[in-house]
Amino acid sequence: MLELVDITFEYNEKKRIFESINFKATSGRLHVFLGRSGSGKTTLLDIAFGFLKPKQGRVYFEGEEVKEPLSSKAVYLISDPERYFFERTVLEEASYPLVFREIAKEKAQAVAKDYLLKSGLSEEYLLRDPLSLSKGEKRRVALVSSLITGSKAIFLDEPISGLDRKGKDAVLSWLRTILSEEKVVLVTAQKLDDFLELKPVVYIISNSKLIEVDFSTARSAYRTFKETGIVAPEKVRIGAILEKSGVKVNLFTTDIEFSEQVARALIKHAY
Amino acid sequence: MRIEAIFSYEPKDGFLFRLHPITKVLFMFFFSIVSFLFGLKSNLIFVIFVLILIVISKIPILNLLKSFKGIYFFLVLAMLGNMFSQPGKEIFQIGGLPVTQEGLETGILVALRLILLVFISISVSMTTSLNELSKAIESLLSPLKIFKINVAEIAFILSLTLRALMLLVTEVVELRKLYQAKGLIRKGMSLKEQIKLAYYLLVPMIVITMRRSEEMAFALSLRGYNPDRTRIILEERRVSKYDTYFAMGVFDIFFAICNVLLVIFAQVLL
Repeated sequence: MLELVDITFEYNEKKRIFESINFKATSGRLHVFLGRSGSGKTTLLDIAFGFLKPKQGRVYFEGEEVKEPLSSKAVYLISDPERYFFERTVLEEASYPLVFREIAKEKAQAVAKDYLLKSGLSEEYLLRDPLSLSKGEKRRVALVSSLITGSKAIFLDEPISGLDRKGKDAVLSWLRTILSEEKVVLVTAQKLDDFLELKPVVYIISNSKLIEVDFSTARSAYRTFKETGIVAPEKVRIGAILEKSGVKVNLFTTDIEFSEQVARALIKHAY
Repeated sequence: MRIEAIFSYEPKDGFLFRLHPITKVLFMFFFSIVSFLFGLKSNLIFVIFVLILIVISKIPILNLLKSFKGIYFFLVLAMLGNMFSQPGKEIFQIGGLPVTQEGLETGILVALRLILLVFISISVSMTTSLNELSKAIESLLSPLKIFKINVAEIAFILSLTLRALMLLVTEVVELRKLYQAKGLIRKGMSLKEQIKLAYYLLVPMIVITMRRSEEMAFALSLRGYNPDRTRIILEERRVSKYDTYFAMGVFDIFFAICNVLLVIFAQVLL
């Protein structure tokens, strides 16, 4: 569906961002790209979406080569999108991409309302000023405003950075429903911790290469994190330690479920 | 090269970087005035002079030219407007419109002046940090203190404006990206859609500008910033020998051109 073949990219000759990387997306899975700041996480999304042209290599979307931005075929959300709110109500803010496309206001707002309620915002929010919402709520409105045009591929640049626990949970549970609709989701992140419960495919961008993290065992995953210098998520660290003494735990769970697993394993081991 | 880079200053080791900011600001004013006093040939010399300055200051000139696609349109417009509008000796015709020698010369002259102004202002803004620029403007405006004008505040406003311009450019780039992703900007849009898009671009930009300036004011008041207070400057730049050489070079060219003009003038008279 989405495929990057042999991509090489550089902003200037001094620093090469990507050196012939390959990537193939699976629908219904979450793809997380990790890396240090400046390693090219956003650049990779930009290339995949068609904002930037790679120096070498090709990008394919649904069998066709991507030559200009996938504007109405896929969805791309820049980081901190709530900066650009300008409409007076949440409903108008969420529905303006449709209104722009000459869809009747009532119809557009009905669609937007549907999406907003699905994202976990209640009815009382719809007529509020979007700037008066909390950060997590704003982020959800921004996500709706982008996703409303509907598409099979979704590119999110740091969707949960800067959010509190509640906001993160809301975005994550929404991501889960999106994934259940067999869509391709590409996400960049500073930390993997929060995404682990969605059973993601994880890639690390390091030294202009794209390295897939092998989650078959916790120790192999931990090794990849250590080699690339990225801080490994807590669950991976604990999982690797437990694995050393012969206990296997499932990493792709919520925090609470994971704690339960660890507690059970410890009790079993002790007695 | 991205558009933000035009306004950005990166400390490097080049000729213009070593000059005192006041020299550079004066040089900017001097050339912009002189360019309008003199004719075609002298302006050509000025442009070549500024180009040499840019090259020896290690500013990437080819990238710079590439990021000026917007200005070429105005250059051509200014040239064409003058080419057809001046009466005089006809050289050739384009589509039935006569092009005169005088018209062609004024067209090229106007274009050269525009190029010169753009190059000078860029060569100054890319080689001077905002702090230094505002300080230079402050000390150049200091005679206005006699009229009880708050020079420090004016200089501060100027430097803030330059800074904010850079911020706004980056915001526009991001906003464009967001709209492209939402399918609001795409190829082959009708005129009606483009007009509608202008609304969708302008309103958020005004909102962002207001919000940004509010944030800036908040940040300044939090830090207790007061432009009137006396400040001690760490590592103050002093007028060096480079400034003297530079001033000598500029005036050399200036007087050389004056001489040439004088000779031509004398030949015409005699």
